[in-house]
Amino acid sequence: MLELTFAGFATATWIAAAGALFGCLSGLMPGLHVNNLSVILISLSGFMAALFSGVLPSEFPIPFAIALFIISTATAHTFVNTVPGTFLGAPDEDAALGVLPAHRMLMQGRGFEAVSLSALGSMGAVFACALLLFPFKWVLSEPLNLYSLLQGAMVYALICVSFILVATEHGEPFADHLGRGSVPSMLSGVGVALCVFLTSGLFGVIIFDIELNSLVGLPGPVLFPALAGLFGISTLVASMKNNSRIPAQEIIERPLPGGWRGGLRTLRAVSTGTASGAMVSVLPGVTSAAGTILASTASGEKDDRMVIVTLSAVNTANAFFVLAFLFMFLKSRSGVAIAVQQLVEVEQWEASLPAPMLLCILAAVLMSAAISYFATRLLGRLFARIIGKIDYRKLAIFAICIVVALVLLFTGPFGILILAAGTFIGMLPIEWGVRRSQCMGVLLVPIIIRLLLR
Amino acid sequence: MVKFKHVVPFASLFLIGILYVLSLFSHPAYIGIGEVGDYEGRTVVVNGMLTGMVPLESGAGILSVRDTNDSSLRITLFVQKMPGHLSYGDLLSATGKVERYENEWEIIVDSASDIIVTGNSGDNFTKLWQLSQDPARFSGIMVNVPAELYNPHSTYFYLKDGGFKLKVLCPADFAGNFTSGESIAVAGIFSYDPDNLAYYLDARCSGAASAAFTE
Repeated sequence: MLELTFAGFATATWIAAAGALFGCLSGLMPGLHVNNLSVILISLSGFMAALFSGVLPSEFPIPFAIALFIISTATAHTFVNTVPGTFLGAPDEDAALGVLPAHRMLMQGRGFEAVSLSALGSMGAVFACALLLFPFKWVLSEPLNLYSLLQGAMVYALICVSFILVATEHGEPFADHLGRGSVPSMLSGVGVALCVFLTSGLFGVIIFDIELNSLVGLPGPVLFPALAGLFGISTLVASMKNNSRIPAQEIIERPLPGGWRGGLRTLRAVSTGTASGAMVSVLPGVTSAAGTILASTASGEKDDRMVIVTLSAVNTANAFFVLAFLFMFLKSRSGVAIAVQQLVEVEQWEASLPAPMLLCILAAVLMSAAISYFATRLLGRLFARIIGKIDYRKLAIFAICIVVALVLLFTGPFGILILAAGTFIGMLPIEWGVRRSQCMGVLLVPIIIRLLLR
Repeated sequence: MVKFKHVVPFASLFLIGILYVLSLFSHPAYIGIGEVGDYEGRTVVVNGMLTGMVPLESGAGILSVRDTNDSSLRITLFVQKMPGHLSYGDLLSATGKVERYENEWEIIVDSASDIIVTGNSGDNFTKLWQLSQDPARFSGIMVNVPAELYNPHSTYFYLKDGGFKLKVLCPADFAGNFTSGESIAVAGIFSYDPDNLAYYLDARCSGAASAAFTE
C-alpha cells in the first residue's frame, strides 16, 4: 500500500512534470491516440524502470512512478493534440469533431485562438472534474449505486442524439431547385443528412469488428483511419480543391463572450463537456469521441469558440474519470487505465476518502494539466507564426502523407483502404452541403446496435 | 462532364462494398487456450470446457474454461452479459478480446451471442455451485457430483468444492474406501431434509456409484 509522505508527493510532482513534457511532445504527433501512446509506454516500461531506479528515492515504488508518468503524459496529450488537429487538420479519433470548428477558425486567421480555447476547455475540465469527483462516486457507487441504470440509459441517450443530429439539419442542398427556405428544400436537407448519417453508420458497422494488423506489432485501432479519413483528410482535400489559403494568423486573443452572461456560457460549455466525458467514461468500448457527439448536441452551441471549449473538456474529463472509475470498480476503460492496472495493485475506493494512490494520481493530473495549459498556448503561438509562411497546398500534402504513414504503421494496408473510404464519405457532406457532424454515424450506429443487442 | 459531387456517393458505396467483402475474410484468430498470451489486445476465438461460473449482479459473469485435452490449460472469460443456461462440462466456443487482469490472462466477451455451446463433454457432472444456485431444480433427481470428500463417517460424509459443502448419506462403510481430501464423484438423489432445513445427497440407493474424479 502506498503511504502518503511529503517526500513522496514531491517525487510524484517531478515525475508528473516529466510526464507532462513528454506528453507535450507526443501530442504533436498527428493522429497518435492516447491509447496507442499508453501501449507504447508500457512496452518501454522496462527501460523506464531502469531510468527511474537511478534517480528515484528507494522508498518510492518504481511501478507506481511509471504509472504516474504514463498518466501525466496522457493528460498532457489531451491538451496538446489540438495543435496538429487545428493547424494540420490531422486529429486523433477523440479530437475529430473538434477539428471542424478549429479549422474554420484557422481559415479566419484565428488558429491560435482556437488552440487557446481548447487549452482553456481542458483546464476548466480538470477543475470541474476535481469538484465532481465525489459526486461522481456517490452517484455511481455508494450510496446511490446508479451505475447499471446509467449504463442502460446510455443507449437511449445515443438514439436521441442521433435523431436530433439528423432532424436539426439546416443545410439545403437543393435550394436552387426547390426554393431556399421552402419546406421541400429543408426536408431534402434532412434527407441528405440522413443518407450521410446512414452511409457513415454502415461504414462503422462494417469496420467495427475488423481486425487490423499493425506493422509495428501494436494494436491497430480501426477508428483511427476511419475518423482520420472522415474528418481529417477530407478537410484537407476539400481545402486543396477550393485553393484555400491559410491567412496570416492573429496571435492576439479575442476575449470570450463578455460579462456575466459570457462567463455563464463558458461555464456551461465546460460543464457540458465534463459531464459528457464523465458519462461515456463508464461505458466499455465507448470512446470520448462519442462523448463529443453527446456534448455538442446537448450544448446546442453555434459559436465555434464555445464548441471548441466543450469538446476539449470532453476529452480531458473522460481521461480523468476513467481513472476514477478504475479505483471505484477496478475496471479499466482506456489504455491508460489498463496500463495502470498492469503496473500497480489498484486499491479500490470504498471508504469515504480516496486511497492515497488515487490522491497522488489526481495531484499528478493537476500538475500535468497546469504545465500543459501553458505549453499548449506556447506551441499554438509557434505554429501560428509559422503556418502563415507555408504554402497551404504543400502543408496539406505533408499532413496527408503523415496521416497515411501513421495509418499504415498502426493499421496496415487494410487501414489505408478504410482511410480512403472514410475520406470519400467525409466528402459527402462537404459536396452536398450538409453538416459534417452527420458523419458521426460511424460511431453512433455501431454503438447503438451493440448496446441494444446486449 | 461528371461532377465530383456525383462521383463521391458512388465511390463511397463502392469502397464500403469492398470493405464489406474484405471483412467477410477478416476473422478473429482461432487459438488454443495456451496461446492466449500471444494475442494480447486482439479478438480471438477459443474453445474449451466450462468448469466454473460466477454470475454477477450486473448481469455479467465470469466463466472458467479449460482445454478439453490438457486440463492444466485454463482461461477466464469475463462475459459482459451472461448467456442462458450453461452447465458444467459444456463445450464452448467463445469470441472475445484478450486482456490482462491482475497478472492473469482473460478474455472479455461482449455479449451472450459470442458464446456458443457446441456440445457437452458427457461427464454429466453437476457441481456444488450449480446445486446451490438452483436447488429446487435438482431436488428429487439423480445427480453426479464431483468434489472433495472430507469428514468421513460410517454412514455419511461431506463433499466440499470451493466455498460449498454438501452432506452425503452413503451405504455403511462406503466412506472408508476413501481418504479425506480425495477428489471423488458421487451419484445420488439430491434431496431436502425439512427437519434440518438443509439439502443433502442420498447415495444410499442401490446402484449409486462413485469414482475417483480428476478435473
